[in-house]
Amino acid sequence: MSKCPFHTLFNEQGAIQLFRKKNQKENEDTNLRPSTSSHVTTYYRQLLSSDRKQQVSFVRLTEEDVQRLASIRPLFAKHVERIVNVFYNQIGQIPNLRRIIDNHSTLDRLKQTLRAYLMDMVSGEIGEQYIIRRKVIGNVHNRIGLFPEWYLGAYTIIQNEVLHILMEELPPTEATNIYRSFAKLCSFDMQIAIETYIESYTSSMMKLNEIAELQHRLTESSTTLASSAEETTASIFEVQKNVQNMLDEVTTIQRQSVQMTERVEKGKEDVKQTLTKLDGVAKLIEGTKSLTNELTDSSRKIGEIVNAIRSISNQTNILSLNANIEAARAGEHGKGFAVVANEVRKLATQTEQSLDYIQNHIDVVQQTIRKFEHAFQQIVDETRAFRQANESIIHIFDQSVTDVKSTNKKIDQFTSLIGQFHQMFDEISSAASQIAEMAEQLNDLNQELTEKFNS
Amino acid sequence: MKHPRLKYEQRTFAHIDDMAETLLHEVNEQLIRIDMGLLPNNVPSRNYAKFRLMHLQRSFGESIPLSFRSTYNSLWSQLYRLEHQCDYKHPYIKQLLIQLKNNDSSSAK
Repeated sequence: MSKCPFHTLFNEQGAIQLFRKKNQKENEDTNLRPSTSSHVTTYYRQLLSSDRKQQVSFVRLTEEDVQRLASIRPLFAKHVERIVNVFYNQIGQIPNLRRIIDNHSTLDRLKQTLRAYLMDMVSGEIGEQYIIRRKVIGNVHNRIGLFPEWYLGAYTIIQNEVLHILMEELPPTEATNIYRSFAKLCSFDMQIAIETYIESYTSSMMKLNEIAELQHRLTESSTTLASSAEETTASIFEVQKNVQNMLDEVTTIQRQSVQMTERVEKGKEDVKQTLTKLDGVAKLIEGTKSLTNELTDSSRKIGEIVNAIRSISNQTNILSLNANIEAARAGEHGKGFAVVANEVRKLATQTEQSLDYIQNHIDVVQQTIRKFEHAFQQIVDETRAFRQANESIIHIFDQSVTDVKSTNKKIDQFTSLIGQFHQMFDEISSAASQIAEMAEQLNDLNQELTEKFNS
Repeated sequence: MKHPRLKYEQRTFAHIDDMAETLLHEVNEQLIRIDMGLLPNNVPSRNYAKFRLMHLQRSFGESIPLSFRSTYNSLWSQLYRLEHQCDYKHPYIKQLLIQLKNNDSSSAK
């Protein structure tokens, strides 16, 4: 309790004393001093101007009665302890009442309360606050389960003891008058306490406090429910938006993936066509290669012919030489023949030269053919390598298509899952809206209930 | 007190004594605020205190421990006083009383 900022207002029992009349010292003083007449009048007027006027009149409690009771305050202060002790001695003998005391208070505390209660009766201050103090007694008795029969019986104990004291201390007439006044005030007290007790008992019987508490909790819960439903709806809307975006993205990926598959298929077809063309080129090269062979063969044959001609030319040269020799032997007659023989030799020599020239060209042609063949071979090799590379590309394309198709399948599954999510969020969103609506209805109902309870 | 309820609103207490001290302290502060005029003496203000006392009543069961009993009883009495000071009657009780009065007057005729 040290945390309480109002701790200075706390009494030792933990409750503030605002409704208690005065502090203890003042009480002690006033216990011994009778109230003044004007003091009593002020409070009594409060009583008459309240809605208790009829009850006051019913028990015939007059200002004179209150005044009379106030006049015996010192006497009451002297004997209050005796009344209290007699009262609790008798109460303590009844197990049911003893149990109530043990469960809900302590004997000392109750004696203190009764002391204050009795002194209050002779305070002269029978006004508005007095009524409230009596009403509280009715509430407390209901709360601790003290039924009215015990409460009414308890007054008899007090009244008897007060009567004994009055008879002991005062002349009979005065004692009788004061006792009557005291009995009237007791009746008034009982009226108030019993009326409050009945109200309080009815209220607790109908569990009105519990209903009010439940209704309060219901209000809090429905408010929390409404606000969390609102938050949930907002969150779901956000998630729904994200799922929709995800779905759009995945659809785009799906579309792009299909396009990619198509492009890869197209690329594969292009490469295949290129390979077909390449095969044509290879065939053409093969064809050209056979032509080259024929050319080589022809040049070889030309060479053979050249050689044959060269042989003939050599023989012709020898023949011309022999003819020259024979022409020389023939002398003058052989001169003409020698000329012919020389011409024939010259022709043979020229033929030899021409054959050398032809041979040179044949050699050049053969070298060119060999270079040509070598170049063809290189083209064939390159073409083969190119073909192998393209076949690898086709293989990669095939693999890519398979991979992309597999990815497409996974994307389809993913899309389907997202679609399910989307549907689920739609359902959750709809449920959240229903909850929000229900929370609102609950709030309205609660509002009605609150108005009924707090009106 | 078989199963003491150690939760009140969003708070969970380690021990029933902690809960009792805290709630009684809060009730006391609330009643003082009402008495000092810092809060109106109306149903919501009083309910703040009443629901706490009811919670302790339920938690402790039949018998309130001696260490808290005096404070607990005093706070209930203060609460009743505040109710009577503003002449509070539960609306249902009011209706019942009206009905009873009506029945009385009709049977008198």
